[in-house]
Amino acid sequence: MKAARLHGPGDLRVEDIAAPGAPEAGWVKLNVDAAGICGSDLHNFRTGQWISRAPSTAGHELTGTVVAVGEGVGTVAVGDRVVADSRFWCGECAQCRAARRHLCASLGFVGEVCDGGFAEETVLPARLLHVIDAALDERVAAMAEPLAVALHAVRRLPKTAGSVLVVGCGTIGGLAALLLSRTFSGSVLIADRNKARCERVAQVTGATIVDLDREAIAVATADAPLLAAVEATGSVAALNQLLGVLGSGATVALVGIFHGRLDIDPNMLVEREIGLLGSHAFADELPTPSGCSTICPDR
Amino acid sequence: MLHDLSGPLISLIDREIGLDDIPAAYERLLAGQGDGLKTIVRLRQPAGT
Repeated sequence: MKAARLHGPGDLRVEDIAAPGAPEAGWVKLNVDAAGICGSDLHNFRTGQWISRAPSTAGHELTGTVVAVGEGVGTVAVGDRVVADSRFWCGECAQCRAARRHLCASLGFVGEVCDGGFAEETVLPARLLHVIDAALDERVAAMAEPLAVALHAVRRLPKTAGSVLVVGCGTIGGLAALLLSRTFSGSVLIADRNKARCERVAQVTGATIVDLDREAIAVATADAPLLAAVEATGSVAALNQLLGVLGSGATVALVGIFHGRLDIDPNMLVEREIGLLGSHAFADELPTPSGCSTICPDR
Repeated sequence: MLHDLSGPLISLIDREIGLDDIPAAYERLLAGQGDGLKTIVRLRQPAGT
């Protein structure tokens, strides 16, 4: 079968390899239907930061159809369509036992610690698979994982009124804007250096495009303080710009994967009561991130 | 929710590609090209094709 495998930093090869055999106990074999390319795939390709085995079939945003199940698997059956939980959690550490699997002490990701979805077939632990509606478009199903990541970031923000700003209109930022546009009663603002991408997100979500400067934000918020933002660029420069336009008392959910270190005066955070919250993967938002309008009624 | 968002999610897809196109897609995305949000590697043919 054909698979796209990462051999090392900058070394991705599409190869013909042996198809996986019968799945071991607790594992499931899938025909992959669709998979998304994630920014973290690109980060790992560029830096090799998360390469723990090589070669490894990349791709953690995947949907497929079950073609074989290993011994003891009772949660999915042959013919089921599924989406994969990208988080390869242990299930035994204190964080997993407390249902915080995204903070697992030995967390890895599909496509890194085990083969992922950039292949015609793959095998995954049954515990990472969630059955979906057979009628769901596979392209939409492949976006369940990043949608869960975006929803987790949105849910990290405190309840607020007025405006929420999303910085970065890549996958996670764009999906965060989409979710906010459906659940937040105030204004959704978006900013991105890529104007065409920003306009596309604005067209789909109805969000307002802004520049990351005080005047533009003041106009967009009618001079009200900006109290909530999602940082989805992973750019230190963009984060510094964002910190300059936030109102005192604001909270930022950081979901981008950063390149570089942040150099800020912590007293700015203290004196303006700015909260920087990390947002890693997702908690319980997969596979059908339903009900967010009731979970976070003010967003 | 996935069903409800199907329309906008599909509208935000940048490109649909095959497995052979992944290395070129990586290069394109790392170069900052593409106005959509998501590149989808599609292996199952849509029904009716």
